[in-house]
Amino acid sequence: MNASAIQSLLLLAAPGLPILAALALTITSWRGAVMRATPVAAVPALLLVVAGQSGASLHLPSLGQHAVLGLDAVGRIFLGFTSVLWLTSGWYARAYLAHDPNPVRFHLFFFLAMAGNFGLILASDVPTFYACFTLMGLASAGLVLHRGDAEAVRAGRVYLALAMLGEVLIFTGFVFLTVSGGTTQIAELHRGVFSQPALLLLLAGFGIKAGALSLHFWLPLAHPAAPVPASAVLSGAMLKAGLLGWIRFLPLGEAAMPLSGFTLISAGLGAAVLGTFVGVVQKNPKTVLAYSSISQMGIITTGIGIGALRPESWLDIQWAVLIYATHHALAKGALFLGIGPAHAAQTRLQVITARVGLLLPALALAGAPFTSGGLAKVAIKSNIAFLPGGWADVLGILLPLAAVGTALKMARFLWLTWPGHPHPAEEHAKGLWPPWLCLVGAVLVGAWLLPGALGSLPVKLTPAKLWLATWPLLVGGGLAMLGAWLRRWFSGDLTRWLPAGDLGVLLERPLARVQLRMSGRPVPDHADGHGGGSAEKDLRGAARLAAVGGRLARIEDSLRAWPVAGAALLLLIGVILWLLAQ
Amino acid sequence: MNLQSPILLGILLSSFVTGLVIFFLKEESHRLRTWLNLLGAGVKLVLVAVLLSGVYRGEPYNFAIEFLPGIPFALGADSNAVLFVTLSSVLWFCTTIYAVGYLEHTPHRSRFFGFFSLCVTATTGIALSANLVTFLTFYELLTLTTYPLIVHRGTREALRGGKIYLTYTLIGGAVLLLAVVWLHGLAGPVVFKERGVIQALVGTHRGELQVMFLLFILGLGVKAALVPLHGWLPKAMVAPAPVSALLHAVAVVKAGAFGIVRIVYDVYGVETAATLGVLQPLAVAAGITIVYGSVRALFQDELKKRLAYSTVSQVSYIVLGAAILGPVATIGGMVHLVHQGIMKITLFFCAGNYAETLGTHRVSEMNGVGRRMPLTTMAFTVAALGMIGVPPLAGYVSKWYLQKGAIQAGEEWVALVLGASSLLNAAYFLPILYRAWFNAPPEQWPAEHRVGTWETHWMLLLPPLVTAGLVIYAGVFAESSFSPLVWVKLIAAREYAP
Repeated sequence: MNASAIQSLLLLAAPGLPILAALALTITSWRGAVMRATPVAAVPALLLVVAGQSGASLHLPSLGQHAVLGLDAVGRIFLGFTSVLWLTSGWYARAYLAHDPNPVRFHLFFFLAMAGNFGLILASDVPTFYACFTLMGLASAGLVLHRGDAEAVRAGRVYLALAMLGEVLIFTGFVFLTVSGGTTQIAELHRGVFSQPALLLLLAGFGIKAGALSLHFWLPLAHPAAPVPASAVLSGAMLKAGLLGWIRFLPLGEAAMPLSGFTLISAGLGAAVLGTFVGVVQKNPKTVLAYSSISQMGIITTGIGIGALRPESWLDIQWAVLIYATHHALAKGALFLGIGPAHAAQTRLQVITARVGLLLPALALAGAPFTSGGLAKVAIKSNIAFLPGGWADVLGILLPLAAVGTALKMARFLWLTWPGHPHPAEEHAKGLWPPWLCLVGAVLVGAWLLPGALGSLPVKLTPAKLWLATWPLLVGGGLAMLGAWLRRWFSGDLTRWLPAGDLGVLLERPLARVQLRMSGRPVPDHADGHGGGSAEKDLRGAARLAAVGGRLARIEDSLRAWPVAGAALLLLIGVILWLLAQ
Repeated sequence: MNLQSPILLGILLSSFVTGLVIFFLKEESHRLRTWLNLLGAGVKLVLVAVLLSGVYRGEPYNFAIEFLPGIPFALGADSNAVLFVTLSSVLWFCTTIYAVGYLEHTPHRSRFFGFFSLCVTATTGIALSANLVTFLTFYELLTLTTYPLIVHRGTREALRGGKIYLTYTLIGGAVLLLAVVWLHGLAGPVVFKERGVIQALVGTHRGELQVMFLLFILGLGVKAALVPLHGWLPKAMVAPAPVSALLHAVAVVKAGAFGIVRIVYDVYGVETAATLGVLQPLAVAAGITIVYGSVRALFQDELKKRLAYSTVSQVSYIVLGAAILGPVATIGGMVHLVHQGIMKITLFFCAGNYAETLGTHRVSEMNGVGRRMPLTTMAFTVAALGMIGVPPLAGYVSKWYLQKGAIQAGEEWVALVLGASSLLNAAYFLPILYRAWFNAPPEQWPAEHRVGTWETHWMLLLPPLVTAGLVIYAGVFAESSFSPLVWVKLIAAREYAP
């Protein structure tokens, strides 16, 4: 086989193998073997990262609207962290789901979401990107809903509502974009005039996936509801699909977009702040991590906003954003996967390993010097000095504060998961360690493998620079201790005021009523829902809604009454005479 | 009469003769009736395949005999006709298999299959009519032959549904007749022709043509279930499942939509209609119908009723495509004629399977049906996702072209309609899928019948699997060399040819 055939095969196998695995699950006798081999499904994607040639492409003219898969520099970086995350999470899932009642269903959705995620990174044309994006979005609903308890159902409902809204926004944006661009090939899209509706639609549509502010509230519900390996890929890899959408489809680096830039920077900084305030009071470690993702994606959103303001330095900014994305994906994945081993740590060696393994990615996320987080922070910061207006000053103050917030959230997370007391360990928990430790290893080296990462290290690390990177960490740690100390006198439940899902909780009641009306049974009160209506109130709401439905039906029935038909006939004759008289 | 015309007549007679013979069969001659049915459907399928390849090569097909003084009974096969006749013959074949399985051991089967064949004859005739009077004849014939199928069960509810159906469609037919006669008086015999036949009259009879267009749409809109003329459709779902499937996918509702397509493209001509200013109101009516139907579907607990309102909404995609000027919108609307057909027939087949095998008629009873009937539910899932417009299924292709055509024509508001429709479709289909796959099945189904080795009788299982396969094929291979989309592109090219 010649080299180009191998390239084509890899391009096809990266999304193709997970699809085949999903199909193989329908054959009962193959299921066990397929589920044991889950991580293998991500291997072609990883091989492509290592051995793929930039610029390789594969045309499938009879598929979709002439589907094209290809690998470019941006795609390679995304595929890098994405494939590592799916591989380690798939490996982890093997042990994690050992006692799950529905492992086949979980794996089915896991494989489909994986295929969608790899496919959208490699897609070179708009319809293929959209198809893969949708596949990923819908399949991961299955992961969110998997546990099937009230919390998961609630999370799944909110997730699906937002995901479908995102699908529609993106679809419409794509049609506008391909009409104005005159092509469906992504690389050629921006030669024409960029359509304004497409810009707005895609900003919002991908914003939902990326957890941008005001569109983020599905995330702190969905990520904790999913099983741990699914949370890791949701938070680490799939959020980044929204980011990739922005990079691929917004005219970044071609035109200055002051309004979009302003919106993105404000939303990004807002998310960083909000994520901190709501995140630190959460009691579920996975919810803390989800809010941390909102904050971190906020920083990345800010980066995209800077790019929208300064097209001339987009390449630098893009590089910084990619470093940040890689760093966050791996570190966040490692923290999620760490929850299992931290809980299961039994011997002294295991406890120490778990502590170190949690501390390293937590420090990286908080941006400690010499970690990938430190590198990512420097990369973002180096781009703010040239910003027009007061933005440079604003960001100069707010970004370190965001770092303080991250440190605080990491302290909170470690507080909630810190391995100490040996538990009666379960046998299957052994299998959680190797994939997790591999991912922790990837956190240590991952971001440095990006082209140009090592070269960007400051040659002389002065004490001043070191201090600049360290003080937010110390302040954050100090605040965390202060909080823990204050907690002795205050025992109220803060999540009553700052519940997981913040804004979404406000929207949830009316939506629940619709659902209630359709299902015809009372919606259970949520375990962590705050206040709200009683079951009785819900029923009254349902009755009101049923009344609306009934009224529509009555209006419709009355159209069948003869007097109405007669009146309509007279009206029609009138209209005809009027038209003829004209 | 040339050598090719017997094919057109053969396509009509293949079901007509079958129907007549079946009426005289004894109720017990189950085997003979089944073979006759399959033979008729098979012969038609082969003839349609021959026709398809002939028309693709550009061969002319026509057949005419004197009918009324000066007005011939004329059949022809242009690309529009072939699209519709292919759809109806393929889906008729699937539905015949399904109906044989569905009606096993029930009374009055000879009556049912007789009218069933006549109904298909009428639909085929509508597709192949070459002039307006022939079209009208078959259109009315369809009204009458469908009635016995709707009231087949003979219950009070069925009779009531049938009465409402007749009232609506006969009045609609009268309005249509008025429009046809008026146009004849003005323009003489109207033969369908790409780009329309009335251009010469626009200057002198502008107002009359506008009124006639209104009457045409009112007359045809009854069957096409345009709001507020749709009231009969949800009541007609008392019919047995194979009838509902055919009614919603190819026969009655589709005949109305196809009629509107004929009027816009082959009587008025889409460009002429645009200069008359009648397209915009039609587009708005279609937009209202799309959203309204989906909203009503949201409130239905009865599965078939929910599907019926979904049809109200989805059929107007076709009308919307016809009402927007431009080849891309035409492609979107016309391809949905096929896509809506294969998706909706799958959904009705599946609804019938649930009712027949488990006795579940309501959405709230569908917990865990995916475990009990995985293959049926798989087909249902594919079709429902297609309806929402999830890529790469058939509905997505329609939506892409409709949306693109609307933007190119400067009708950006259509984006809101299609977006709202997708969200509403998701809101009434996704909860069903969740119930079916994620919830635990009840300990006992309302009325379970165990048949055969599969989850249900193979004759009930095979048709939805085949049509669900078509939904996937029409989407994934939309741009390959053989697909509904490719054919529809041919239609659009001929309609907008310079």
